[in-house]
Amino acid sequence: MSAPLHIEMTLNSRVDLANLVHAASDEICRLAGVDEDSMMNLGLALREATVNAMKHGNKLVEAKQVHISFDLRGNRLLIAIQDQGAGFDFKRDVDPRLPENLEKTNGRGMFLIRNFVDHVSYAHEPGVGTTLSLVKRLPRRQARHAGR
Amino acid sequence: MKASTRDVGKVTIIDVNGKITIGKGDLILREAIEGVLKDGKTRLLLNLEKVSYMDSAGIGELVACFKRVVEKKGVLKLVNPEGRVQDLLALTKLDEYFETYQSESEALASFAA
Repeated sequence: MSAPLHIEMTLNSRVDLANLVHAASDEICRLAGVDEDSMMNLGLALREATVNAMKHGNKLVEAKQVHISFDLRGNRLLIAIQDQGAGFDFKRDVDPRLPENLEKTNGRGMFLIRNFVDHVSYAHEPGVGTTLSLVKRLPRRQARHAGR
Repeated sequence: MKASTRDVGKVTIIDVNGKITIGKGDLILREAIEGVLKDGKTRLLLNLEKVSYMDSAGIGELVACFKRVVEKKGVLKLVNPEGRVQDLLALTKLDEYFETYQSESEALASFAA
């Protein structure tokens, strides 16, 4: 069995850097032998989480940082996205598919994240920031190829 | 992301090519729609055939463009959403919100109806 993979990135709060995070996610998925569809889903979830951290956490203050860590352990990829913000009401997110929400121009990010990963959790530490943790199970067959 | 426009009869088709994502693609889409509205064109068809990807900001901009066109008493329809984009529209139920066609000829005919 291959050794666990650990990668960290620290970014300023510039939304264009979400492309870099997305590219890193794609490359990690390739290393893990993940199929194209799962790779795209995870990339989108991570892109959304990164932009949320920059916009809603760090209020787009460019000097504030977003720290992202990837841990590939067996058939699971764990990703933590930490901002330096004051937190948000994690449970308040609404269903954008409801008729009354269809015309809204925002509010779909967390919905997409929840759809494209297997587990989402949230923690806020006053004075430090907010961490959104994502877990994506990689298909068992492909996980056996990880590290080749 | 790139956007270009062409007129077919009374309909203006906006051909979009690339990714509609935060920070660039969404802004280009907004500018393209605002540009044609400024020219007084209000029968619009957004061709998504060459859009490979959208994020929530891109989806939001699509909704914003639709509302902007409606404010001007115009019509915005979609044509040719492919794979990933079609999946996202379905997932967010926006495939029921936008009038969407699978071919340009079918979409153009709908404006004549």
